[in-house]
Amino acid sequence: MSEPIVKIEKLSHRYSRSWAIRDINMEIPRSGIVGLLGSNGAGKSTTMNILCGALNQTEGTVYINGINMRDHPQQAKKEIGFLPQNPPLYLDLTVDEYLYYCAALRRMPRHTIDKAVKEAKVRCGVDHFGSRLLKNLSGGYRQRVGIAQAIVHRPKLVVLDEPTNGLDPNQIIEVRSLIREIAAERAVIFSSHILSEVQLLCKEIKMIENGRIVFADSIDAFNNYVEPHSMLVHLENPPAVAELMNVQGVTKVDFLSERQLRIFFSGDQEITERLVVASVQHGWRLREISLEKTALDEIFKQLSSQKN
Amino acid sequence: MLSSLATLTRYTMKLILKIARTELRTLFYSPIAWFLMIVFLIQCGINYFAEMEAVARNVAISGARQEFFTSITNWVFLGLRGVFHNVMSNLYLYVPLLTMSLISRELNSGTIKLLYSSPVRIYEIVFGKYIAMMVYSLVLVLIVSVFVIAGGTGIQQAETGMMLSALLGFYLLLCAYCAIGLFMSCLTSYQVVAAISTFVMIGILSYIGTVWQDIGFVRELTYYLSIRGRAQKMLAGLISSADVTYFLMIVYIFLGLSIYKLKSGMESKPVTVKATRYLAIVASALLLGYCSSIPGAVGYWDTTYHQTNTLTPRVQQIVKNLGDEPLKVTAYANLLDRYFYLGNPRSFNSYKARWEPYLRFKDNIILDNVMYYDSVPVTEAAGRRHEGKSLKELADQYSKTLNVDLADVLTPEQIRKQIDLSGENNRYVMHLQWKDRSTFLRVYNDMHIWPGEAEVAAALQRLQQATLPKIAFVNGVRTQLIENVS
Repeated sequence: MSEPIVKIEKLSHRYSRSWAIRDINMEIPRSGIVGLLGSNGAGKSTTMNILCGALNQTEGTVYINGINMRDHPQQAKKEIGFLPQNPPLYLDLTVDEYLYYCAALRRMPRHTIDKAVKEAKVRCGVDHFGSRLLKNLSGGYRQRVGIAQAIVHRPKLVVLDEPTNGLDPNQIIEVRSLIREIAAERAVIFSSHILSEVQLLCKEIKMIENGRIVFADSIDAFNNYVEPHSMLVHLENPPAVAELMNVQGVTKVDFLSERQLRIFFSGDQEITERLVVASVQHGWRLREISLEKTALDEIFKQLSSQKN
Repeated sequence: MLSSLATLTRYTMKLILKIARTELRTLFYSPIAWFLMIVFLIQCGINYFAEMEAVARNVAISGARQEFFTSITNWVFLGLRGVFHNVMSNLYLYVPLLTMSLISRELNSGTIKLLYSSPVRIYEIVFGKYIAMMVYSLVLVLIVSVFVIAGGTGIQQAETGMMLSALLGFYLLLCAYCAIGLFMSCLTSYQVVAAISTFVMIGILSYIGTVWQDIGFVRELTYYLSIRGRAQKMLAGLISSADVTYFLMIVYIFLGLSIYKLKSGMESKPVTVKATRYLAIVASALLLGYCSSIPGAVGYWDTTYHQTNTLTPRVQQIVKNLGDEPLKVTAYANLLDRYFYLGNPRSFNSYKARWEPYLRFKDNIILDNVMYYDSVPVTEAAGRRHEGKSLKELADQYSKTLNVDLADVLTPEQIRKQIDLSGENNRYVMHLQWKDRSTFLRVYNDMHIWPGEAEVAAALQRLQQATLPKIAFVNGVRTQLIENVS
């Protein structure tokens, strides 16, 4: 495998007194999507800002494509496209003017700019808005222009800080597919505090909590952690607790109401199958059954406690 | 190696210009740039036509003799109510509104992150923004030029040189204000706060020349930093390298501070490092400014038609004849005298300024100031105040009201040991020493008070002549003895 596009060593950053991130090490491969997961204030944005050179770290080193960000910021930054949490748009400019400006800021040679802007616009689906003022665009399209600005100079690494934040569900789906497209040719790091989003998009996942990495592995490994261990069941004719406990794997039963129960279980998910069979056999009249996903903060708690 | 460096600078220049162009674009997309231009145009227009009308009225009254004025150019453009004076004194209202958004808009909207994460150097951003402001300033200069051209074609024998130097002064003042505004805009994400801080900073620079004027070293510093009067000299048609350097220095200080301020936004260096950088910028600028204002190192360019800001050739010759020998000028200021204020340490800088035209041609004129107290001829008004008090008591009273430390004031005994001023009635007087000769230079009871070029030249002549002609005064009626031989 070739050299990773990003290598972060012992990265720490301090805002005045308190440490925002502490001792972060990570490597990011040259292609695919890496998700940075963490609750609000965990240190995701700080990490991303440092990664993109928008913030100078207190300690540690960042290598982009083997170039030390601190020693040669100009070369390193050429390889990066960054979309901060709020898309950095000049609302008084048109889409074209804005993208040309961004391309120039990335020091693209003049003759390549035309083509690059056009490509970025097509890729992000804003090519018919070229002469539209940015302030007249909707939130979803602004986000697309924000992503277009991050890829216009064809960087090897694209960093997206909570790209789906504040969008409506349709826009979220669009932006997600856009991210997938972009990632076909380059490495993408994106951050989110939404677990399902990361699960959907990423191949690899880094989880940050309280400024430290608490988990870093492939998404499959991660899914093992977040396996559900409880389900909500609606029975029209619920039996006694003892009877339910007889089903193999059930560890605990809570009655939420007369007919609504929460069943905790351990082991594999075949429990659902067994429960349905038992219901038919004993005439419990099963109406509804759903697995409960573990809440994100629950996982954080688990992971952090494991780490400690 | 050299060619790659050239390519690099070319790319840098291109990028700076690109940033400037985008900034101008944003500026002109918002109504503020247009609005300010229009208001500015109207302000100039009102002023110009009002003054023109006043001139026309006076021409009508006095007929062909035009006895009411000496220079129409001065009247319309450069005088106290003229276009330039008016525009310059209102400039502080325009500039902050233009500059407030420069960086603070980026800080507020988060676009600063785009700049930070792009392979752009901070100075490229700052220069780009500043060039945009320079271009806009040029537009304002062009607006004034419209009136200058109109005046130039309308006025017979217009003082073109003076108007051009006034335009230069106006532009330099604008550039200095813009640099201040740019820095203030780096400090905050609130545009209004940036605007207000710019007002305040311009205010501080205007008033700083009047504070701590009684403390030796600080006086030099604060007087030098003062922006007031710098452009006024150019209005009068005198361009000096010291004044131009001053404006460049202000630009240098504030652009330098802006660059370090923005740099500090993306790094977490200790406070001491940051403070040292800021201090280094200011200190280096002040050093530069100091060197540029050493007499002898200053270049002058008098743009007036009749060289009115320069000593007449005859006086220049007299000053030149003093040669390399230093001329020592000691001003003796009597605390009890009505002209004491001329010798108050607070007015030392105006004392220096009065000698500047001579310093221009002789750089080793050494200026000194001595304060003392001694008896003064009793006038009617002062007589009542002085009644029944000893000199010491009077000195106490005066030093308190004038806020002068009596410890710095020589007693009658001390001053009499140093020099005999009784012939001058202990009035404010300057004692000129050159080689082994000396003479007095007085102030007068007319409206100028300060000795004019003729009087100073006469004093310098006296120094140079070994033997002086004797002048006798003959009075009629009760003829007196010839008593005044000097």
